[in-house]
Amino acid sequence: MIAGRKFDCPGCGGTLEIRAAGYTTTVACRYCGSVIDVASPDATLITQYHQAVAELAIPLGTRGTIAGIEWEAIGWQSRSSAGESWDEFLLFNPYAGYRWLVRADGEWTFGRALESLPEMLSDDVVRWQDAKWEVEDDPATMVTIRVVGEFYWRVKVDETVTGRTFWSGSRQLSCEQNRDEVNWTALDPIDSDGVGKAFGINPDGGSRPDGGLGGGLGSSGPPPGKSIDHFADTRSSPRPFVRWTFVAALFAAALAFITMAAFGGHGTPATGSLSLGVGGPERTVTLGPVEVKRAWQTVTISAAGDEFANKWVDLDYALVDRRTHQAIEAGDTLEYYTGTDSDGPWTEGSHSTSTMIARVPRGSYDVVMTASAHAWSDGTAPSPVVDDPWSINPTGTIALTLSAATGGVLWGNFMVVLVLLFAPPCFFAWRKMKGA
Amino acid sequence: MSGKLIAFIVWCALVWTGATWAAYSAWSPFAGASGGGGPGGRGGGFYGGPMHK
Repeated sequence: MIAGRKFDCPGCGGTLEIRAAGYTTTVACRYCGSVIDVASPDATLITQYHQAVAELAIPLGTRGTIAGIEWEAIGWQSRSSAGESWDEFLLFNPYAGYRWLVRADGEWTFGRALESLPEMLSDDVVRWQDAKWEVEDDPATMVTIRVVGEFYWRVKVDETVTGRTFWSGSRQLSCEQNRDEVNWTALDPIDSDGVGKAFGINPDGGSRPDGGLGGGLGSSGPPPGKSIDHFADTRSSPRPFVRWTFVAALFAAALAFITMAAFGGHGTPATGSLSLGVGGPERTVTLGPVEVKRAWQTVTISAAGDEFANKWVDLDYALVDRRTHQAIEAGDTLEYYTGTDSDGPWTEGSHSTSTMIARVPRGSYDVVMTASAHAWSDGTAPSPVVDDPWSINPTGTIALTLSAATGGVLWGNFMVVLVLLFAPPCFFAWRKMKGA
Repeated sequence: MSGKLIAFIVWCALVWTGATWAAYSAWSPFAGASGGGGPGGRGGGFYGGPMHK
């Protein structure tokens, strides 16, 4: 590494050291935050601050090896946009130049300035290194809120730029623009544990593992052998936008379920029972009253049979308004089949069923149920009625338990809600994975 | 917060509003029948035996 040059901060008198002498133009004092011009022989105060020493995840002066090159952290700036802040560490190597380590939302990226400008395909799409990069967010105003260390440009607090981020998979191209210039930076995700091992720090914390404060110019480098030679899997780091759409969809789905369950609460059921002879005549039973107390409610009619097999029950319902005698008709089938074929035993159907009648207006109702039971054979039994195979084995009875009540969750509606909520996030994620 | 994310949150709010309205008015296109017009109707009816194979 290049030899440092020491000088005293004109703001607080603290001793500072320039590590990238000859390149650095500005130093932000780690003791008081004052910004000093070091391009001239005499360090000149640009802006004086009186701030506490910053606690940095990577203390300045710390060295770490990334991708086979040893870097020294020489500068740090904290920036914010839309209420969220992140850390940017400026790394320096006298032979390789400058790089960035950015920590945002607990995730790290390793950045370098672009040497060739991307080709603008549209306002939202650029091409760079034979890949298309699409913008995901609207332009955002980014403000520098704190700086410490040395920089190769005239850094200052409250500096404002407009930034956009273009994505290709989980790789980013950051475009920052102010009145004077446009800067492009390529950012690749990097494993946080690797950053921690490379620099000998706790990558998730604001201080060193040994409890010491950061910002220490002249701190010792990492233990020998601490290096990171690979970047994180580019697919393992979902973009914040995609992640937040899933979070929003999950929240909305939970809210929708709670709302639907609240409106679908069951009322007092009317119950009854019926015994049907298989192959016998239709039988009718009336349940009621079913009181619909809101302007509109659902009515759920349930039927359950005792143990039976290879039989079915046709169920016809008429929800009759006691005042107007108007009826809402519905139907259902209770069926259960079993048998054996070349794949082994099989079953089909259930011993219970339910039907929901939607949008029933306020009133008092009776449920008139008409049911008839039938039987089916797998063909091995002799048929007494050759022309009607469904009348085979017309023996036995089926005991039905019946109930009718207001309420019931509209599961079909909920499935539609899930599709509408989660289809866009899945599409966004698929598009990004495809891009990766 | 990006414009796209805000637009998606608005979409979520619209979906939730629709689901709430449907639940309040007991409306569903998937019900076995409907008393107030609209989709639904008489379901079930004769069923010709098992659908196995």
